[in-house]
Amino acid sequence: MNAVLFKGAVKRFGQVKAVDGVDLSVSPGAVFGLVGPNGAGKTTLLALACGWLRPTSGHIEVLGDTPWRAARLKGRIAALPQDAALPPNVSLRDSLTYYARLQGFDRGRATRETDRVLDSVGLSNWRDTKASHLSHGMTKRAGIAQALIGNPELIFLDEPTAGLDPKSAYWVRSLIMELRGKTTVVVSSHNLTELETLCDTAAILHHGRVVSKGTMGQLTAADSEVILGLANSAKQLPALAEAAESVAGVIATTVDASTATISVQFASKGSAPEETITCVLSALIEAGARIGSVRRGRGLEQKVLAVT
Amino acid sequence: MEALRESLVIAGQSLRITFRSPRAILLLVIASLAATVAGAVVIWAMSGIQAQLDAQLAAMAPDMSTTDLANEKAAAYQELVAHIVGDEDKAAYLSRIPLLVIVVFLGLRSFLPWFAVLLGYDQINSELQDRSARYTLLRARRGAFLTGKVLSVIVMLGALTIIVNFVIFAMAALLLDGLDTLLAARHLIFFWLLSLPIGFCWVAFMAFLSASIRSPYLSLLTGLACLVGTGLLGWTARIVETLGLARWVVPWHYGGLLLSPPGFEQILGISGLLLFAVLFFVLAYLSLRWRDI
Repeated sequence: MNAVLFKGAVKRFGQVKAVDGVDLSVSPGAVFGLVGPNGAGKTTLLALACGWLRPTSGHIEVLGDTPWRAARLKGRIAALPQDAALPPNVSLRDSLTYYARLQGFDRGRATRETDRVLDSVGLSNWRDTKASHLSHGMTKRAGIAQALIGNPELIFLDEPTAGLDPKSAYWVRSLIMELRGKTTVVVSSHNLTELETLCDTAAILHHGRVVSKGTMGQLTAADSEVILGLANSAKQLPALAEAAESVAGVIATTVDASTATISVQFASKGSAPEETITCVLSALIEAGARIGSVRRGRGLEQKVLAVT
Repeated sequence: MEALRESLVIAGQSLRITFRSPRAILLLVIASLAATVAGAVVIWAMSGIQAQLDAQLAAMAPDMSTTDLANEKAAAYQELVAHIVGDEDKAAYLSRIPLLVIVVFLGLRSFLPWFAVLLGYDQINSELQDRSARYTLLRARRGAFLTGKVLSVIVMLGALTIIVNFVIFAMAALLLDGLDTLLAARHLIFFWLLSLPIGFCWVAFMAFLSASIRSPYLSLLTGLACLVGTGLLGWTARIVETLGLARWVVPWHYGGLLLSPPGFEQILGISGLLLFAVLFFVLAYLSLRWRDI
């Protein structure tokens, strides 16, 4: 059973198709990334999965059930919406205890669970502070805290690190890494480097459609391309490229004299990409290459720019 | 059972927030002040009427027996009640009830809808506007959310009306001569209970507006406009014969039937208001169920 499934999902707002025939699935326990420019439909897709929006057409399943059955899904899914505010004139403790009680905790357990999640996000000392008095970073952490109540099976995070200082952003990324394998996490973000590190699989959205999807290795070509920065002279580069091409599995090489890089495309038939990359490096070193940098794949940024 | 539990949790949270809010405190203060002023006016008027009635009767006293005097007093009182409620048929029943209770109920019947609008105009859409409802609706049914919110407004309205009743009753008990306090208290409680369907009807109506209209201020304006509009329609229907049937689609008309003697008309009044309440609640639920949050 997929944790999340979209089949031909469409969402219209008047004349605008915010989501246009999306087919996607997220495996249980995975960290799944949603990428795309502003207006691509990422937030709308998350809102559909949470049951806040009704699809115009198509089929959506979350943990095997329709998203707007709050009764059956409560406590099992959680979300950090990008554009929703915690009640401004209520303390964090009151708000989170309220949410815990709605999830089925009795008053005593709800208070203890609130203390636990606030402690885990470092807001224990702010539990009696009203949400409107918190800084942007604290508000984000409070939002994440409410998403952790009851240890849900599936969490949707919409732009969890947007506007955060580096330390807070690092903390959020660490939290997501900790959840990997135990909880299914769907993250949408503009920070592509972050998604490359965090996500197992991802989908790139553009104008409401999925324009590319797959494992992070497939999307970034990390499993089929290696880019080497060399300290050799431009004249030596073609010979070095030939040496790389002689390695089994290498399909093609591309030399960029201006940046002194050689890009090696390969197909790892039956063997791990790391083996091919190691052979390429060995061949280049034997041929006299002075290697300055090694990068697997083109990066998610390049992929997104190419398809959107 | 789980849906009921969710509703009660939501109602409890709403009440906790509201009773700490400036608006609720302001309404409470205004209601208490209004009740005090109204109570003072009512007591002053009743004292004056009582004195005038006693003077008239005293003038007739030498020529009349005690029984005739008592009958004359009852007849004069009935005439007064008929004048206040505008209906001689109801006056025969209402003349057995302390005038204070009748006046308080008439006040409640007139002002309760306005309080319902002021308390309930943003019960749903305030949380839709800032999308804080998203956190709640991941954890609760939309029906439970609606029920909890409506319940909290009803409790607040109930508290307000109890305060108004109590203030006026306390002033009357202290300042009004000859008031049978036990009788008055009993009838005040009965008529307060009778006013509940009015509250349910208009709270449910505001829940419908609040669930359908995204802007709280627009739902407030719409609610106030509907109050005035339906009031005018009901008043016109009483005067213009061809529009006579129109009064049956206006909640105000059923509120008027509540003063009838216990029987068919009073039951019709209660049923009509409860039917409106159920209708508006169902419309609110359908609106919330199918809308995007």
